[in-house]
Amino acid sequence: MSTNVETDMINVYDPFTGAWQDHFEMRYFFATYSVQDAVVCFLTGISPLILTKSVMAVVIIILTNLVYGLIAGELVRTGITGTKAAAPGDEAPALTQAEQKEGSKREALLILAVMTVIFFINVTFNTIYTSSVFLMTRTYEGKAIVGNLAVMAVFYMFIRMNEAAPSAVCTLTRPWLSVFLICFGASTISSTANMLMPVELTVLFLPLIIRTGRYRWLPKYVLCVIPGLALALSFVLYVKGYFVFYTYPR
Amino acid sequence: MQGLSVFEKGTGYLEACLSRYTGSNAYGMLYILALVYILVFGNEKEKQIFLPAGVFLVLTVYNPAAPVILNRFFDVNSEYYRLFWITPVVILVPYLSVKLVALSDHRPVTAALLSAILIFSGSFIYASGIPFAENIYKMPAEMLEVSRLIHADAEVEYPKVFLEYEYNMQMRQYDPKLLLTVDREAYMNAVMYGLTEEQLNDETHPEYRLIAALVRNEEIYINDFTDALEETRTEYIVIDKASPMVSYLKDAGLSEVGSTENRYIMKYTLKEPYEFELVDYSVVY
Repeated sequence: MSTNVETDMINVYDPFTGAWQDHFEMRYFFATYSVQDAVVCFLTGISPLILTKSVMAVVIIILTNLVYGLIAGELVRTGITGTKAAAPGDEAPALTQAEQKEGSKREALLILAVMTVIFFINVTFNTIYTSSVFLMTRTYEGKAIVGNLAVMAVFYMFIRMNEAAPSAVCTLTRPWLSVFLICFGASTISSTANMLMPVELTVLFLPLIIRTGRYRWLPKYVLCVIPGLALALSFVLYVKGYFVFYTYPR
Repeated sequence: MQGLSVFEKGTGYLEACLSRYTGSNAYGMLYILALVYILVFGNEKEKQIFLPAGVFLVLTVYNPAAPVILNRFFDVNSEYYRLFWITPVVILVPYLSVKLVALSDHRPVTAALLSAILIFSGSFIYASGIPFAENIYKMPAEMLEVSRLIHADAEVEYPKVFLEYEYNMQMRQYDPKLLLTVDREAYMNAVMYGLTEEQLNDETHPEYRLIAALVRNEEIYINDFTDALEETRTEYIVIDKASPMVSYLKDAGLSEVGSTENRYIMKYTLKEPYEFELVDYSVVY
């Protein structure tokens, strides 16, 4: 990122040595998180290190915790307060206003408790390889965003779609579009998403599709998997020498 | 994962990888116990959310054959462990912990017991103290000083410098005006696996001789060393004051142009000055 800002070019110079490159390194060609940050630095004049290590780190932590909160809310309502544990078609019990208020307060406290324990695990699940360590110490890297924010966002969508799946009509607004945007966006942040998102989609949504019989979701699942696989394939073809993108017209 | 190879380990790669991934943490085990709890005591929705994914993970990501098969198409040696990030340990364990406390008849006791389990299952990331940033850039202050000293002495806008491993990985994040002699991958491989005779004699990679002399303290003839400096156009070398190679550098004709608390900045005068310029693409486009 610093190299892009200094040279006013995108990925033309080697970020590690500063040398000019005659072709784009495909491993980082589609990983545009650093490029996005470089553009923001260029427009605002903020130093690259301050933007990435201070500003964006805070943004990512906040976003990730928002997703944790959403997931915690769904799980608490499903398994503790019971407001979502009822089978489809069952009527929810009638509650007074005071009971509803008390229930909301309890729910909020439980969500907060879950998020507190999530935070505790994130600061104690400590080896150099875990997504928790990436979130807490390497937040400025694209793979930290993919491993924490994108993976959790897809998991949240899975929980919502799991709830909506048995109904004849899915009440969520374009859930597959949301999943596609998350997967496509993750693949353009870091090349880690090229293998992570397709595998996560398979692990979560294939059993869901098979169990609920919603086979018309299969093409949508495939569409969501395609960005990661396509970018992974492009890297493999580049490594094998099938193509190269030059940084100058030949 | 550095040092682990699918080709060497075969189906044993997964176990080795998982062992390094979890380290001394017990959260993986807690996740499995949580899945068992969901299987036995969970409601319908909880089972739908966690169990099929758990089974699929065992059949795919945690299948010993999976890295072997994947490695035929993609190089997964250094990145397979990232697939473990899909496992919702950070979600299921906290959720179940809170649920057990919320639904317990003896909440204080349950809370205390679960707290103890969680505390002893992990290792606090800041166990050796919270490393407060030395500056707004969150970089070692000494590294910033090295950058300042080099630019104060240099006659060109983009001087080329050979740095020790730690600074080589970070310097250009702070100061992209410093060109570095050694690429990150080459440096990592040389530090971890050493350099072969073939690499030392490789005319297309003279930087290997510099790494061999300055990092691995191998015997390199001074003429070969200075030739490597000339071929790589390296003007500055930053070296630890405690390094045994300081006198070697002085014998090679380098002079000290500055120092920080722990490091010398040594300068080599190139036979022909090297002025790096950014390519002017306006003549092309």
